[in-house]
Parts: sequence; C-alpha cells; structure tokens
Amino acid sequence: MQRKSLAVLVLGLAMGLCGVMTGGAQTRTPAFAINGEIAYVAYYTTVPYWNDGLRGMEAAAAELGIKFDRTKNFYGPTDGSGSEQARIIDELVAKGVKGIVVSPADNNSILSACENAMKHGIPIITVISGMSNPSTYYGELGASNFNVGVTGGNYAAKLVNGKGKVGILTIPGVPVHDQRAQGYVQTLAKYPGIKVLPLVNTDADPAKGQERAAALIQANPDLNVLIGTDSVGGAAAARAVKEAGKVGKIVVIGMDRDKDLLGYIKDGIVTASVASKSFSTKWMAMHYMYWILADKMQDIGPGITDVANKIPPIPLVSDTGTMVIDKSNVDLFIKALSKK
Amino acid sequence: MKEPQSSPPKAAGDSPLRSLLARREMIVLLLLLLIAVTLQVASNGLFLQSRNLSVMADRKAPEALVTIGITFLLIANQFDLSVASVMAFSGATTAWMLVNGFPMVVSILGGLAAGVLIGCLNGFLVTRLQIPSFITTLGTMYIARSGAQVITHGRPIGGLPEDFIALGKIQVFGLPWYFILLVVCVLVLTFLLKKQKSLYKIFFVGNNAKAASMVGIRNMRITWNLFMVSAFIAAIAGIILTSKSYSASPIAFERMEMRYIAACVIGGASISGGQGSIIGSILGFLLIVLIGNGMTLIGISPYWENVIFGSILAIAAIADAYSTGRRRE
Amino acid sequence: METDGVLSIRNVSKRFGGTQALDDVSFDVQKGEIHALLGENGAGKSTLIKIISGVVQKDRGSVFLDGRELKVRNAQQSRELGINVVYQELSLIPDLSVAENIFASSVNMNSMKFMRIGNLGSDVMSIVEMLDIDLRTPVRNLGIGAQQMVEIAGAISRKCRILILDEPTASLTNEEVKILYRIIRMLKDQGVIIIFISHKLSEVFDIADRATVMKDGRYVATDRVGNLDENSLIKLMTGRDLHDMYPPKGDSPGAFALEVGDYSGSGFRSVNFSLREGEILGMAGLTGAGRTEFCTTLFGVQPSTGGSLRLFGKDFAPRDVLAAMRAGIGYLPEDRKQTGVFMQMDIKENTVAATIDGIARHGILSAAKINECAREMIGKLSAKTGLLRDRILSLSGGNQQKIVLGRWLLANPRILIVDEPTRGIDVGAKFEIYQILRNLARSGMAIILISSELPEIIGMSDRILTFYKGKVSMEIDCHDPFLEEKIGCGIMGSSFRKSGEAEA
Repeated sequence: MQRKSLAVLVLGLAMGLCGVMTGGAQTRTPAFAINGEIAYVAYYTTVPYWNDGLRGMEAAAAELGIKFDRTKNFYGPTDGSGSEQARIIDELVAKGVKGIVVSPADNNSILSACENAMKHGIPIITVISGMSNPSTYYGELGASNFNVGVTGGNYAAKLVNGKGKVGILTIPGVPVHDQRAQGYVQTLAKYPGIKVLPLVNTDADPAKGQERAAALIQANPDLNVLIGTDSVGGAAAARAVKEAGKVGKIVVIGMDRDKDLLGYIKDGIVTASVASKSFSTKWMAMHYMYWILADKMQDIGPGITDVANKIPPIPLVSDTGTMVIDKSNVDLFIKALSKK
Repeated sequence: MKEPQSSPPKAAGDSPLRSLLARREMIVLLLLLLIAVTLQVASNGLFLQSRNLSVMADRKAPEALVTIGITFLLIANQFDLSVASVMAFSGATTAWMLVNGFPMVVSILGGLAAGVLIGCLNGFLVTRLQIPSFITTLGTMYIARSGAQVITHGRPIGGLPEDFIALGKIQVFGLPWYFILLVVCVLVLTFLLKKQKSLYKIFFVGNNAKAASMVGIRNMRITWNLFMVSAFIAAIAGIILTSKSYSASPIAFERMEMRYIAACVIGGASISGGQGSIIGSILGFLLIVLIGNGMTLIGISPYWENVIFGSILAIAAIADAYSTGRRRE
Repeated sequence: METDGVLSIRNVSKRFGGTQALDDVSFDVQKGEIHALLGENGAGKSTLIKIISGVVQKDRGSVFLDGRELKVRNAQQSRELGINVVYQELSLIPDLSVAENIFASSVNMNSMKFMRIGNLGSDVMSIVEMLDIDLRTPVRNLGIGAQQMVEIAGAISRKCRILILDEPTASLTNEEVKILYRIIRMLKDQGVIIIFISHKLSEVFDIADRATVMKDGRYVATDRVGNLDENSLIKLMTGRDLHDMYPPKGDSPGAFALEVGDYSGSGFRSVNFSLREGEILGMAGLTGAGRTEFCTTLFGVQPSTGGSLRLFGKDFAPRDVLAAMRAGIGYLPEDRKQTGVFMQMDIKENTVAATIDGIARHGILSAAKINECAREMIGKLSAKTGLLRDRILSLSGGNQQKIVLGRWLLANPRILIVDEPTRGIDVGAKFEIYQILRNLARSGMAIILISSELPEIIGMSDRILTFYKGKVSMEIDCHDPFLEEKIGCGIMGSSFRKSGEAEA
C-alpha cells in the first residue's frame, strides 16, 4: 500500500519535473507529429473566463508538440452568435486546419458547419457543452452542467435546512446555463420546503444582473438563497445582497472562480461557488484531439476506429467534474490566481 | 433681354473617369482590393481559394440582403435599428410554426408576415405619429427581440423538419440560391435606383422631405413602404439563416443592426439622408466580411476585431463628414 | 486728408480661376458712417467683404484703416483688429442661451480661459434691453429676427471698429428691422464704421448715409444717399431704367381658370374670387393675413374646411398635392431653402423634381431625357449655371430661384402660384423673373402672385386682391386711379374713402 503511494508520488514528481522542463521553449517531440493548426472556437471571446482553458490547451499542446498560441489559434465572435461561429468553422475548414475544438454557442447553429468539417476529415470535439446531433462531432468534454446544479442545489438546501425561497440568475437560451438552471430547479424540487422563483435573466451584464437581483430581494423579503449560473450572476447577487444589508441572511451560490467572486467568498458575502475544471477540461480535449489525429485508439484496428464508421474512438460524454469553493478552501484558489 | 445669353451648360458625364473616381464606391472598392491583396499574401494564398470564397457567399449573403433595405431607408433619411431583431423574430415565428405542425409554406409566410408587421408598425409610428425613426425602431428593436424570446421561451428552437433545412442548401449553378438572389437584386436595384421613378423619388424625400411634398412626391407613403420593404428583406434573411443554422435562437443577430448600418455608411450612404447606393452598401458589407474572414485566415486574436472594425468605420465617418463639408462650402 | 477712422480700399483686385471677381476697386468709408454696398449678385460685394475680413486674400491693392495698411491673413486676426461680419447664415448655437452665445463669440476673440458671465458690456446690454429678451433663453426659442440681433450683439461684445452686415434684414419683420436700425444708429454714434449690404433699396434710403455701387467686379460710383433715388441706383447697378423693370400689363384675359366660392380653411375664411387665363392676380397683405394659407390649401397641402372650387369649369377638391398638380396647378413656395430646393442634389435633378412621373417611360427614367429637359429649361430661363450635375447650392439665390421656377415651367401647369418669387434675389434676376412670369401669362397661363413688396404687386398684377385677417378685404383693378391708397387700406382692413370725404 505504502509502496504503491510512493510509486504514485515518484511518478507525480517526475511529471511535475517534466512540466517544469516543458514550460520553456523546449518541447518534447512525440512519436506522431501534427503538422498544422488545432483551432479553438469559443463565443463571448473577450470575457476572462476562457483564460484558464486556454492555459490548459497551451500546456497540453506544448507537451504533444503542437503549436497552439492563444493569440493565434483562438477564434470566435465577441458576442454569443452561433451563426458567426458557424462561419468561422467553415473558414477554418477552408483554411485547412487539422482539428477544431469548439464551445458551441447553442445546440444547433453550428451543426451544418461541424458536419462539413467532419466530411473534410477535420475532427470536431466540443468542450463545455455538446450539441443536438452527436453524429456531427467526436465527443464532448466538460462538467455536466446539470450536475453543477445538482451539486450547488444540494449544498444550498443543506445550509437552509430544506426551507425557503430561491432566486436563480441565469442567461436563458444559452444551453450551458439552461442545463445548470435545470439542475438547480430539479434538485431543489426534491425539497418540499423550498420554493424556486421564476428564472431571472442577467444577459451576462453585471449591472443588469445586480439590478434584477436587487429587485428580487426587494420583492421577496423571505428570499434566503440566490444562485448565479455563471460568475456574472454570482457576483451580481453578491453586490445586491451586500447593498440590501442581507449578508449572512441570504445564501449566495456562484459559479466559476473569478477574482471578484473569490473575494466575495473570502468576505463571506458569497457562500460558495461551483467551479468547472476549465484547465483540465481543455487539457484533456487537446489530448483527445491528438489521440484521434494520431490514430491512437485502435479498438477494431488502425485507421478505422472512427465516427464515420459509427465506432467513436473517444467517449461521447466525458464529465470532467466540478470543484466546490467555500470559505474553507478559498485561499488556495486566490493563491492560484495570483500565481498566473 | 439685354443681358448676353449665357452659354448653355454642358451635359453631365463629360468626364466619366473623373466622376467615377470621385465616387465613394470606388474608394471602398480600392480599399477592398487592398485588403484582398494583403489577405492573399498574409494567408499564403488561402484567401482566393474557392473554398474560402464560397464560405463567405454561403454564410453572409443573407445578411448582405438586409443592407439593401437599410440603404433605401438611409437615403430617405430614416434609420432602421429593428432589422436584426426582425430577423430573429421572423426566424423564430417560422421555426415555432414548423415544430407545431404547420406546413412549410404556411410557416414561411407566417415568418414573413411577422417581420412585415414590425415594418408596418415602424412606418405607422414614423409617418403618422411623427416619431423620429431612431426612437421608433429602437423601440421595435426591443419589441421584436422580446417577441422572439416569447415565441422560443428563451431557448433555441431546434428539431426543424428536413425539408425546411434542405431549403438552405439548394444550389443554383453551384452557388447557394440566395447568393444568386443577392447578385440579381444588387444588379437590378443598382440599375433601377436612379432610373425607376418611385425609387428615384427616395432621394428627393431624403434630401428635403418638405420640398418633396411640395412637388407632389408622397413622402409619407414612400417612407412607410420602405420600412415594410426593409422588414420584409430582414424577414427573408432571418428565415434563410434559420434554415442554415437548423434552429431559431432568440439571441440570434443581436447587435448586428449596427454592423449593417455601418456597412452602408462605409459604402457612402449618408446619415443625413439623400445619399447612398446599393452597390456601395454591399461593398461596405463585404469589407466587414473580409475583416472577419481575414481574422480567421491569418489567425488574429478576436480581441482585435472591434478595433479594426471601429477604425474602418471612423475612416468612413471622416470621409462622410469631409465630403459633406466640401459640398456645403 | 484726415485718415483717422477711415477705411480705404485702394486698387483691390482678385481673380478666381477664370473669373475676375474684383477689378481695381477703390473707395473710402468714413468713420461713423453707415455705408451701403450695392450691386447685383456677382458684382463682387461678397469677395470684397471676405478680403476685408481676411477670409480671402487679395491679389493686388491695399486696404487701409487709420492710414495704416491692414494685413489680415485670417478671420481670427481680423476679429482681433475689430472687424466683425454678420452673415445671413447664423452661426449661433441653438441650445445655448443668449448670454452664452454672445460670450461664445467673445471667447474666440480674447482667448479667455474662463467665461466672465455677468460682465456684458453696456452696448450689449442695451441691445438685449431693446429686444426685451431674457439672457437665459435658449437661442432656439427666439424668432429668426431676434437671433440675428443676438448675432450682432455677439459681434459688438468684442472690440468693434468695423461692422459688416450681409443682408441683415432678409428674414426680419418690420418691427425687428426698426430695432435693428436703432442698434445700427447707436453704433454709428460711437464711431463704428458700418458697411451694409442689402437687396432692398428702400432700406438703403432709410438708414444709409452713403452708398457705393459695384457692377461685374468693378467700382461704379459712390454718392450720398440724399443725391440718389431708386431709379438712379438701379440704373447704376444694372444699367437699366426702373421703368423697364416691369413688363407691360396683359390686355385681354381669357376664360375662367379658377372660381373660388366661400372657400375656408385653416388661416382664411369665406374667400371669393375668380381667376382668368392669361391674368396675373396679385395678392397683397400682411404676414399671416392668409394668402399663403389659402394658396397652399388650393394646392392640396392641407385640407379646406368649406366652400367650393371650380377649376376650368369643373368642381375641384384637391385630395393632396399630387392631385392638385394633376389638375394643372403649380406652386412656387415662399421659403426657397426650406421647401423649394433640394440643396444636396444637382441642378438637373432640381429642375425635373416636379415632372419625374411625366418624364418616365413605363416607370423608367432616361438620363438623356432628364438632361435634355433641364438644358432646355435652363436655356429658356437664361440661368447662369455650371454643369448640370453641379449641386444647386453652388448657384446664387437668383439662379436657384430660376431653377425652382423652371421646375414648374417643365410641369407646365395651367395655374401657377408664385409665393414671394423674388425674395432675397438680386435686381437683375428679379427683372428676368418678371419677364418670365409675364410671358407665361401671355401664353395663357393664369398666375397668382403673392408678394410683400408693394411695388412688385403693383408693377406685375393685372388685378389685386388684398387679404386682411384671413379674408379678402378688397379687389382692385390695376388701372384704378387710387390703386396704392386702396391697397394700403385693404391690407390694414379699413375701408377706402376718396380724399375729401370725411371719415365717419
């Protein structure tokens, strides 16, 4: 037993050393070299959320001998437009990239573009959420967004002893948020003493979010839980609670791990945050992409284990899990943030 | 008369080359060529490959149609901020009807009607109640957007029937049918705009509505019609794009109206009315499309997109102010 | 020779491309003098002003003030020297208050870092008092005349040695003109040199001390106003006699073109009269007496509220302007800038504006046809224009007016209403427009002439209607021996009595 954990430790140290060594310009050359671009397509590209994931992709790429630079290989509209994403994917196909990792803005808009890419032999992997037609991509990686709601919902319900009124700040229409909100709604429905108010739309706008949260607090004096399905919603809820003088009286559950939100957790305004593992999700996605391109998974033989033959080489859904951040561990996250 | 007869004025067009070069369209065209050459070099020849060019025709032609309606309105000295919302509203209406079992033709007519309804409302508020079009269409922009959200319950409507999806994939001469439609519209309307009497009158309305009404030009009716035309075109574009993205999203095309208006201004349409051309607006839109395409081909960080776009718009605004100023001298 | 306070212009010449705008012009303006500068459009008045105020640089010659040569390179510099020009086009900022506007003009001049509100000079205060306006009122809320005064107040709030007024009365009411005269005289008493440009000769006799006439870029004459009369001035300016100004009257009017019975509408009521083909019917009255309102209602701009119209023997009720045009009515509007010209459009487009439907074949217009129509009309009107595709705003007011008139000639109406057809245009163009109108009448057109200039009404009309408070107060034949007296009574709403008869 002890020997086994020692072995793990040694392995870990070795990997860590590798990581340190690969941090520089020197990259290890793996057996299979990808000569070309792996592109990452997102949406609302100017929000800081993507940085962790991009770091993960860069780290994995360095390890796999792939050139990936967030200033060159990161694409996407500055808004939530699915049709713009589709156009960009089409253009990347025309450009002749080797593989595309995409965070779809919605379930459907990029289906035709992904179909087209796959037809041209360019693998599509989605991160954060999947799409309505699984035959148009290899697989999806991310925290099960529904489970985010389950985790956060149970956490909050326990704190209020299964009794109270819950407000949810979200962005309806964006699948990720819809799934998280549904997770919360369905989890909280299991507690007969809890009433969930209709969903509130923040439009991903901090000011609007705060204004709507404040209105919610005012209209419902007995409100004791506020939930944000993203960092904007969580931070907006925190500011509204603070201004209403209800810190401690309302349990606030946020999402992700922005600097703002971590500060609110440390101050005790936000009770907890459910964070997806952005770095490792995208780190894994890059690896999946490499394995597909290098034809590493040969369940029925080389070159034929493929979506086209209805034999997907990678799992259709890989749940990369979540982390719950609260006062007990928030310092670790703040420290991690300051290191970047 | 004792005064010596002044020599009869010369006919227009005695120096076609000079007047051609003085046109805004030429400037935009030159700018386009410059960008195209830059892209071709910077992308190692990827830009001019037919695969890349066809992406732009395939994805952007429906939106290019929308700039035609906006151009008409800008010439008539009116704004239409509601187009992008109308696109989403019409697309959502059609999608909702499709998934609720209406026949395809009926659903498409329903979507078109929804759009024209908004256009009719715009026309009514602007001409009958004399509310400035900027405010009117700002209002209907929110109304139509909300309409789309109500119809979709805030979520994209997917699962559209195969025959509707196939509509967006029909090709004529190897090109998307709506691209052919765009080319035909641009050619025909560019010719007709200064030739067809009703279209020609738009310039008079936009230049001086009062004076136009005093020479028997029914400016109210023209303005109202133009709002309906603009919304109708937006509805067509919205429905095509719904078919192309297999779904109708309530947040689709948000804030795109500014891009479309910017395209027209870049192409020489004046914010103060009375000026503009279809071909100019299309070239302006193409400029915006090329910027987007170049970002992907060269791999420029999305953070830069609005800087580049904003700079080109600023240049267009300066050109507009300069040419207007020179005219007023 | 006493040079103190004298503005001397010596041998000034200026050439723009192929045009000699000023050719060896010399004259003096004395201290404390109101000096009228007269001439047709193109005589070189504007160029001369621009040279004095530094906007344009002269080719040859000199300008002296107090015996010292003025070397002004830009407008800023001329303002520092105390030379102020008030142009017809106002340069006020509509949303700022009167006080702010007055100060804004001084700020430029003194390059003050902060505005000294509450420290307006006494001159400025006396103007403001005369105007009876609140300094805090936004300029937007003032009438156009009051705005003009504010502009002048702004000019004299700076150091002011020379004040140049470019057609200051064009948009003023009679009351406002009187106030303007008081202001000008006040400044004159302080020794300010005032140069005054106007197309209204009556004003020259009202206010000016001396007048200088220019023609075709050359100096013609300077004389004391007392030694001149209207006839001699016009002769100096145009080379024509005043008696030639108006063409001979028409002789035999034709069939009824328009019969108006108890016609009422917004601004006028119970109007009765008839109009015959080949006749020019003058409409006299004060502003707001209902003449323009009547004519625009007849033209379908706004609905009537009662009464009947018969047009060429048929009942007629215009649904809108287009209907009135189709029935054969044309209307040359009173405000050329606001409702007449399409400023940013070119000459040919302005010419064909009222006949687009007529020129189109199967809905399609041909450029050749448009050019042909425009060229023919411009030739007929002897309008001085550049290329047909030049913008109309490159033309002088008179030529713009000819284009707008030409627009209606192309439409070839059977009844033409002309509302203030010669407002703000120079004497030469006026003369030509009179000729055109009379020729149209001779060819059988029925013409209604609205004018606020009595000589024009009397000189042009075969018959005159006076309007008073929305009603026709008198109908007078042009051969009536008491024509002028009757018109005067008619527009004031009093009844006419032959001299000698006692007023009851």
